Amino acid sequence: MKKILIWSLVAILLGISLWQVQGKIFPWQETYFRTAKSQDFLLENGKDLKKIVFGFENFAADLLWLQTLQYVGGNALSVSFPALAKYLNVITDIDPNFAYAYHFGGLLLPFEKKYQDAVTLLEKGARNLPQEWQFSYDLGFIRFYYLDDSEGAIAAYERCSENLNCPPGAARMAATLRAKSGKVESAFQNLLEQLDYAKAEEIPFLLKKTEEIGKLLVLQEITQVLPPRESIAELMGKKVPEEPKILALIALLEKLLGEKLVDGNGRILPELTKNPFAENPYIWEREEKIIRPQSW
Amino acid sequence: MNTLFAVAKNTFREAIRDRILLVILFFAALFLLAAPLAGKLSPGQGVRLVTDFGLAMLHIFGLFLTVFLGSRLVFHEIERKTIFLLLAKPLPRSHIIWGKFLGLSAVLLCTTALCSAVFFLLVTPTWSLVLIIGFIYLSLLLLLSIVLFFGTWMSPLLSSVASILFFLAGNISFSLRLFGENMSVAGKYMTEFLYYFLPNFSSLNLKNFVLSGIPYTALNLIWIALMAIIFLIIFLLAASAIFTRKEFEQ
Amino acid sequence: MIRIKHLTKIYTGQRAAALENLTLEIPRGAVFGFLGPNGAGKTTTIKLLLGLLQPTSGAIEILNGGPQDLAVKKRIGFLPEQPYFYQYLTGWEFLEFCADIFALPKEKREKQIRAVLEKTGLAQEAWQQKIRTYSKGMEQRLGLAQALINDPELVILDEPMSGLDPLGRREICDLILDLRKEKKTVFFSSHILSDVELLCTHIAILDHGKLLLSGEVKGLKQGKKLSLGELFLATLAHARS
Repeated sequence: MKKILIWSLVAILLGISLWQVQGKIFPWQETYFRTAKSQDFLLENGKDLKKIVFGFENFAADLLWLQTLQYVGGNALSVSFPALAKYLNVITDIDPNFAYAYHFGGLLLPFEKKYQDAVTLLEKGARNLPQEWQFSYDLGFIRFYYLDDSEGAIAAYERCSENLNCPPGAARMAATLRAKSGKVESAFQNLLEQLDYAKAEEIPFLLKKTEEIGKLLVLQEITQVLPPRESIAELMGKKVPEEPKILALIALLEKLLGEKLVDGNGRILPELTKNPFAENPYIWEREEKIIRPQSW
Repeated sequence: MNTLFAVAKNTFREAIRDRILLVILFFAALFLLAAPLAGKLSPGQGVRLVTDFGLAMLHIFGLFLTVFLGSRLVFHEIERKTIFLLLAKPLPRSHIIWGKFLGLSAVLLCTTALCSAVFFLLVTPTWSLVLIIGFIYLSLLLLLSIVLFFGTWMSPLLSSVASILFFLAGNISFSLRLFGENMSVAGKYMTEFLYYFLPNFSSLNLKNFVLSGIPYTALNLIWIALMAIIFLIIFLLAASAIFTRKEFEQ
Repeated sequence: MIRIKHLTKIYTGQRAAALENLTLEIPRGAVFGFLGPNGAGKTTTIKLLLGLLQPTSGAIEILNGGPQDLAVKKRIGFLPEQPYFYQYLTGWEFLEFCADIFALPKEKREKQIRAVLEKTGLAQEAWQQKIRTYSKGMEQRLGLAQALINDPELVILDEPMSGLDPLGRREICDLILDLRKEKKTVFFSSHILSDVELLCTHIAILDHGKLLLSGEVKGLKQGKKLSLGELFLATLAHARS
């Protein structure tokens, strides 16, 4: 009985001591956890590291990934991830098949305005995992939205659209961007190609788009033949020149627009009111020699 | 006390004459000497990487030695039946546990000192590093007490696995408690309970604090050391209690 | 010297008792032979005497104390059946370890170790060799040496002759006779009945955990021209019929 009492006392004393001591350690450890600066991630790439993980590439990449998540989580409130590109670069060097790492970088790096890092990472992903459409899609968005690089965006969206799993939006984006960038011909061709494999519900939209782009193409072609000084805007309010080209242009425009462009006195109306494509009138870009709706 | 030191001396002799220890030490030295290669991975931060890598190798091999040697200590006595010779003598059973703990602590001290000597060939010795290594040693002692506790009633394989799981749990107990603050009341209390009654191995890992320049006082270190010592005592007392009541039917 | 009263031991998970209601007394100065077929309960009895097992019921008094008393263990020497040693130690180092446990004074230690090694006949060349190089006979001698290192009052030997050649057995018999002359109490189990007959003053016969026969050898034979072997077999046959 005496032994049981003594041992119970010892157990209680030890328990209380433990509770007290752990309680003293916790605040200090917590302070460290909350104030510790995120340390620089020292590796630039994972190529050398890959050589020394002895076949455990996946595992090493996973461990680094967990560390990356902790890093991002720790910096989430400040939305500042200076080392994120390095982390993801190392992970994808060690394990090039780590698909989510590319996508993650594509989403978060633009927040840091590290557009080029994001592009490099996504291009790496597209190279290593060509079967994944996601990277090209993200790449297209970044190039279009952040970098104002329509050419690059178009290439990315078209690459994406080559993948059967890619959503149709990618192809549409490619076509739209081509048109916006003035490449009306290739936009028109692209739309015709899409009509070949479009689903039934997509065809009306595509046809409408094809009609619009087609009209634009025609207008553009016609205006190409005009000498530069003879833009439509310059002709506004003036008497119609007797030149055959201009007469042909006006006739075509009247057909397309469905309205009279010349008044009873043989003068070209001050402005073209009807835009065949939208509510807003279209405008003539003199230098690029393109006609586009004002809304573009 | 004579008997306690007699068992300790015998355990020390047994461990250092075991060739497996030499093999493990050889590889430990090899990996430590490979630390400068880690430094080459990152230009401009070579010293830091060598230090981190070296300390990590020191710690990892220490853990490996502790679990490997510790898990066999009691089991081999019983399996090889040398325990019958011991128990027939005027030797309190608790002295066997404490004696083995002391003996293997001495072995770990020697191996840690040896690995530290190799480490300090690569990195300039500083008091911070000595402090870190000291607390690494303390964490190894704590782990040894856990291994001994499980070893009194489990086979070496099971006791190794259980000890490693305990070690890992002890490393995340702090993080668990932090997560628990955002959980339900039940979750919060459970994570708090686990924090208090699991050994806080993460706090013994001083390299995170000391090398990062996080301020600490002697009192912080005393609390951490005290925590380790209290847990150590608890596990050894529990091991002694189990071993005292054990029957050797075979 | 040893009093066993109604000692019973049932191992965990087993229904049959390994030892059932054993009552036995071993007087001081006796050479007590503990006989029985394999599985009779001899080793179980010895383990209970030494505190290696807890009895299910019953009591043991040994040297006026209990089996767990450290003061009692200081006065006992024990040789297990097929002794196992620390293979990495030399014979001398092992006996030093035993001397440490018995807290033998340092100044007498070397002398005592030398004396028991010579007494048990272990060749001097082997004293500094690692135990893993020893033969079975050498190990048995070392086992006896560690059983005698503390100059015990009571020597418990479990199958001391097992695995030995006739010469080895003879030497062990001589040793036991020497112990008898020194008025030490010897308690040993054995299968070799001729040796038991030669050495023992008292015997007990065990079968399936039950005591069949015990007492002084002379008294048990009761003047009949029976060898111990014949007595043993007759007792067993009678018990089993």
